[in-house]
Amino acid sequence: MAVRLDYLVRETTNNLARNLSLTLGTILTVTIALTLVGLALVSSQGVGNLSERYQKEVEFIIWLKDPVSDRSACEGSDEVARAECESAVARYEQTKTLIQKDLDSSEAVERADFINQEQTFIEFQAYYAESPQILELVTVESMPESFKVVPKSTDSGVIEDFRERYADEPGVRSVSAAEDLIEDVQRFSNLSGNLMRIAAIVAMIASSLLMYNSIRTAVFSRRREIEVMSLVGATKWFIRVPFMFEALFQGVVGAFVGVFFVIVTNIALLPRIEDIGPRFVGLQLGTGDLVVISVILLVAGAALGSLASLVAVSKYLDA
Amino acid sequence: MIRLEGVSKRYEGQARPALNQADIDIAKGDFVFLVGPSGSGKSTLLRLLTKQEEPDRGRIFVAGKDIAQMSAWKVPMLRRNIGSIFQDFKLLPNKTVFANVAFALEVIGGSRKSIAKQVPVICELVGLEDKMDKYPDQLSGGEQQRVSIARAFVNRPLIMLADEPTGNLDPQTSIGIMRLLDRINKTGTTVVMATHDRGIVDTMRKRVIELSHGSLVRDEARGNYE
Repeated sequence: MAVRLDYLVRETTNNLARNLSLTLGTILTVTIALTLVGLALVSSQGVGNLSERYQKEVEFIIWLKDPVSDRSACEGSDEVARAECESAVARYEQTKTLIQKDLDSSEAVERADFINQEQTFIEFQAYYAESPQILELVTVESMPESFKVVPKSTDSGVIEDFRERYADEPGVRSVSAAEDLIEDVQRFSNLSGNLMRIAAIVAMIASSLLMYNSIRTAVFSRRREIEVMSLVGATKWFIRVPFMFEALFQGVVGAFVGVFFVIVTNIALLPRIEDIGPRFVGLQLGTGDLVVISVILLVAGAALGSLASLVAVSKYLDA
Repeated sequence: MIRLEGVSKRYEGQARPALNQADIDIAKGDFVFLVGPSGSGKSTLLRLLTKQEEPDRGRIFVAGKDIAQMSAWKVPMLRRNIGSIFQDFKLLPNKTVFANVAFALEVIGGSRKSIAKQVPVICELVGLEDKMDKYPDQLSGGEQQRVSIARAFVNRPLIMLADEPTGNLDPQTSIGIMRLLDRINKTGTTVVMATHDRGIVDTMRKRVIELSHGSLVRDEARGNYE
């Protein structure tokens, strides 16, 4: 027998109002649980987007190490010191030339640009534009020179080959790749994602138990009504459905509020994280991703409510 | 209309059976008093008829159907053919007279139109047409029992089971309730009423079935309480 919609809405509203504090507590717990689930999904999707972006713009940088920090020795009166300085500078220049030639002739390299100290300093100034105290500490001479290399293949193995080839060259300080940035972000994301997942599971268990208890309380507070319904010939499902609808409502409303918090996080918090540095740019999700996450949360809320209430009514409603 | 064949029922933890090898036959349109001391099995018999309890042995036929063999999903249909009234009325305190009576139609899927049509008719039958918007706590005991009867009868059941319906009422009010049940019986509804009220049984002179320690000890047409 079908349950009339107006009856269902009236009974559900009355039940929810009768146990208002428990209803609000349950909705709040569902909200917390599903917000955590949503943030875990946002974090995982954001890092996925970042990785994709880095893979598209894959490059690596060969940082050079000038052996002579003070070139004035090359122009001093001490002949020995001058000779040593000039020799070191010559070796460094030779290394640069060799690397440039090697990169230019390599079939694996798409493009290789030499970045001198002035260019590095300009990039540094742009990067730390909002931190004048840092900019005060550096000079053009203190900037390292480098080669920015774009390989033809985005295969991480190719980049690893380049790293091994140049890392131990005299005059080379280090070889860094975008991969390192991704790994940093992924490590952070995995850690925070795992913590959020654990918290989400605990909160979901708590909200299921609360829903279960909320239904049990509702059943006990309406036992006379249930007895009368049963005696006048109401079917099992006619009696059960309003209770299940109640939990469904709690789950879906909790999920809606959770979706709201996830959207607020995406709009208000993620841009601030992106402001920390260029490596985080791309964390904020687009509308498509948000819609998918919202649907997942709403379905999860509805499922959570339905399952908890199904178990509770099966146990406490022997009607 | 109702037939019990060798029905026995023993509750868990009880040494004596609540009902022992009962054989009872009640025809359509009968008015039957169930009498006997407390614990004699009167309420158990009524609960067996609505399938609130299952017999340990025997067969129970209601309107020609063996309800012991009836699957759980058919029980609501059985109960729609049986109206039940109780000593404590079992009214819903947060609903008006109209809503209490309408509830019985609502839960079996009655339309709003049919509820609006049938409830005032039945309220008039029980003499509460001017109290349909009152709540149970604004009514006397007799009036509350009339609401309970209206709720039980609004589906026009084949059988009306009454478990000490006058137990909480004064003699004058009880007479009014019994007149109402008699009128309902005259519409063709079979009435089975468990009672301790000697005055009512002796006055009405209907069929009397007496139970003692779960056994049927007397079945008398137009009988007395003793």
